[in-house]
This record gives sequence, C-alpha cells and structure tokens, in this order.
Amino acid sequence: MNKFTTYIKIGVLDALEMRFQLLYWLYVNMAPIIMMTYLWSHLYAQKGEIGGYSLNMMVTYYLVTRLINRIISTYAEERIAKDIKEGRLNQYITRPIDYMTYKFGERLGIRAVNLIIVIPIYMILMLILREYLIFNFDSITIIFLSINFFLSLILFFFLAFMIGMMAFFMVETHALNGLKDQVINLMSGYLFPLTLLPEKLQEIFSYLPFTYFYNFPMEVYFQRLTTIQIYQGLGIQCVWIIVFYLIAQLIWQQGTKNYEGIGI
Amino acid sequence: MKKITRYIKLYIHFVQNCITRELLFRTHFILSFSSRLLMFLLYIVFYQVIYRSAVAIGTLNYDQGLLYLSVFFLIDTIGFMFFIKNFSTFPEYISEGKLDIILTKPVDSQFFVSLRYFSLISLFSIFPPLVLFIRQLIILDIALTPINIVLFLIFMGTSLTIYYSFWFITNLILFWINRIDALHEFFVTLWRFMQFPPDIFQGVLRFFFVGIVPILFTVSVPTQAIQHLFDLKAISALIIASIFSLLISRILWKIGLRHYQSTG
Repeated sequence: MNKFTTYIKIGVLDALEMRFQLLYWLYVNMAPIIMMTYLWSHLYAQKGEIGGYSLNMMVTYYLVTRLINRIISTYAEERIAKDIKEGRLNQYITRPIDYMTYKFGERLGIRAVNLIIVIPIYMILMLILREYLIFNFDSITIIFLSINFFLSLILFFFLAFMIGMMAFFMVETHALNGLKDQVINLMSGYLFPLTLLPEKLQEIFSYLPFTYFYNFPMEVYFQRLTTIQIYQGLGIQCVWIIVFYLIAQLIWQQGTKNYEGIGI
Repeated sequence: MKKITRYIKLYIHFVQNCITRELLFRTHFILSFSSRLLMFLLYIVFYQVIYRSAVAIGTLNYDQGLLYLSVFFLIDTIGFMFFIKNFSTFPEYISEGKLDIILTKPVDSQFFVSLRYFSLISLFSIFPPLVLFIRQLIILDIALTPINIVLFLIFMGTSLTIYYSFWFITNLILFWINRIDALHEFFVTLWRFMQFPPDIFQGVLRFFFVGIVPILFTVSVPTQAIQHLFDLKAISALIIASIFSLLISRILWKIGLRHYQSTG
C-alpha cells in the first residue's frame, strides 16, 4: 500500500511539474505587462494623452509588442554557439547541407510549436486586460503586419546567427548576446513607444533595422502610417536583410577558416 | 566569534577563486559590463521620457525619481553580485544531485549554496548607479550627516536581506518540482516592479507587495533615509519583513532538505 501511495505521489508531482511550468510561463509573460499597465495608468491619471498615445493604446502597445517578441525571436544564438564550441558543427559541414538554411528552418519549427503554448497564454492576458485593449482586424493591416513579422523573423535570425557565429572567434558569446538585447530594447521601441523620443532620434532610428521589430508594426496596427510609409518601412527592412545576409556570409567564411572541427 | 571569522575567511576564498576565474575571460567581462551599463542607461532614458511628457511618478520630481532609480540599481547590482551565480546554479544542485557533496562539507549548506559564487562583473557594475546616486545627492543638495548615512546603510542591509530571502525561497520550489526552466527569474521578475516608486502600486498589487512578498518599501525607505525623511510605518514594515523573511528562508531550507531526493 505504501509503495502504491508513493506511485500516486510521483504521478501527482509529474502532473504538477507540467502545470507549474505553464503557470510559470504565464507569470513571466504577464508580470512585465501588468507592471507597465500600473505605471501608465498612474501617469495617464495626470494627463489624457502622452506622445500621441492614449492609455488604451499604451496598454495594447505593451501587450502586442510582447506577443510580437514571442513570434519573431528565434533564440538561435546559444544553439549555434554551442554547435561551434562543442564541435557539433562537423555533422553539418561534412554533409551537403547549408547550415544557415538548416538552422533557420529548425528555429521556425521550434517557434511554431512554442506559439501553440504562447498564444493561449496571451489569450488569457487579453481577457484580463480586455477593457484596455484596442483590437484591429482590418484585413489590409493584417497583411502588412504578416509581411513585417516574416521580415523581422528573418532579420532577428540573421542577428542571432551572427552573434552565435562569434563563437568561432570568442570563448563566450553570452555577454555579446546580452549586449545585443539591450541595443534592441533601446532602439526598437520594446521598452516604450519611440514616439516619446525627440523627433531627431526617431528619424535616426527609422534608418536602423531595430525599430521595425516593434515600433513600426505597432504604428501600422494603430493605423498611424500612410500606405507609402508602410511600403518604405518594409523596403528598409528588406535592405537590412540583404546587409545582414552579406555580413553573416562573411563571418561564416572567416569563421569556418578558423574552425578546428574537433572530432572530424 | 571564531565561527564568524572562519566563515569570513571561507567567503574571501570563494571571492578570490571567482575573481581569478572571471578574469580569464576578459572580453566576456567587458561585454557583460557594457550590457549592464546599457541597461542602466536605458532606464535613465525611460525616466527622462516619462518626465519629458510632463507627468511625474508619484510625488517624486525628476531628480528625486533618479535618486530612487539609483538606489534601486544599487540594491539590484549588490544583490546580483552576491547571489545571481548561486541562484542560477540552484537547479544543478537539486536536479542533478550535486547538493550531496555540499551536505557532506563541514560548512552550513545554506551559506554554501547562497554564497559560493561571486560576480565580479556586478562589482564593477555598482559604479554607474553609485555615480548617479552621488550626482543626485549633489543636485538635490542633500546634507550628509553620520545619522542619515548610518540609517541609509542599515536600511540597505535590511532591504538586501529581504531581497536575498525571497529570491532564495522562490528557488526552494525546486525541492518539490524540479523541472522549471530559469526559475531564478521568478523573483527577479517581481523585483523589477520596484524600479518604480511604491505610489504607482495600488489595490491588489499593493496588498501583495506589502503582505505577501513584502518588497514594496525596499527601495523607498533607504532613498528616504538619505534625504532625512522617515516614514515610521514603512520602516517598521521593512524591519519586520527582513527578520521574518530570513527566518522563513531558514525554515523552508530545512524542510526542503528533508524532501531532497539525492538524484546523484
């Protein structure tokens, strides 16, 4: 009987682990949005509009940008660096496989599965914050956003790929990845809408790739841009994709020259 | 007294050992420091953006706001310096059974798992918030007397005790549920709420940060003490919370050890 109780206990703990992990993800995703909602509610109590944004727009901004982050982040850096450091790259370079394409496909697959978990979490969040949220189901906007997400996904992947490949030249790439994250946080509008910054800075940031990750899609979402401005934005993203691709190729060529291929 | 001296000597050895190891990777060290510095600057920009919009956080003006932010980062960085590496290693101790070896050592196990590693990068990262702190003291023309300096240091100590205790307690979940990714982020996510003054948290969240995870006054009390401002209610809450949280952390550690399954 004692043994049987232990088996039941193991079963309960196993089930709890999965549920706890889900609750934990919900919490990690929810907490920053709740924090920002409290902050901006406090600020909007003093002023009805800040930087052209209402409170509802601001809360929507934080929720949707966090969701976009879950869609476009590939988190490929660590895996690529590990492949290089541990010599696992051998199995790719000795076969007729393009490593970059392989990794991109692999990350797309992983992202797709992750989204199955993330989307219900965000639906719960939307339910909690529903009185603040602004919904936009305009079909043209959705098409533009889909194109933007796809281009951002590629850009984000190239960034991750470049950081990961630095493992060819450095022992530890973790800090470089952290630095990249901070640059993105500052210039992409992840921490706050870029419309709150001075206009000159906004103009400079508009030529860089980062603003197209979060600030640009939110401007599209709120229909604050003209069609020409949207095309321009998507065009700039395409140019950056070409630039990043060329840089990534260059690092790959230099890196593989350096690569010792432990275990080949 | 002899015991305390022995533990201090042991801790000095831990620190020396970690410094030697961290200095081996200088590029990583510089990049990590840059990343922390950029994050700090990012929050200064965020505060500037808020105050540029002609709104204020709570009753604080811009300079008081920055003083508050500098104290938040001082506690955060000191906390990271002592604990981040230890608490991120926690899953290895429990899930992989590495705690077995620690339990056989002639040293208090809670002391060992909490302080074995030291972050040299965080030690250097103290300087930017410290510079901001001194700058704000000068701008706000705050007179430094032995009383406000000593009280500031005492309250920083009590705040760090709460910070440590709750971070430690949240990690103990691993004794019961040992498959949670990045559990050490659990407390850090909550702690980040404190980068904004307590005034913005009302209702349920205020109750939560006073009664359940009592971190609401951890930044405000030391910040007020250095400005010769004393809120007796908040001070009492902070001191009681620090004593109880440390006691609870000790009790839960002992209970957790009884549930430890020694996987190794």
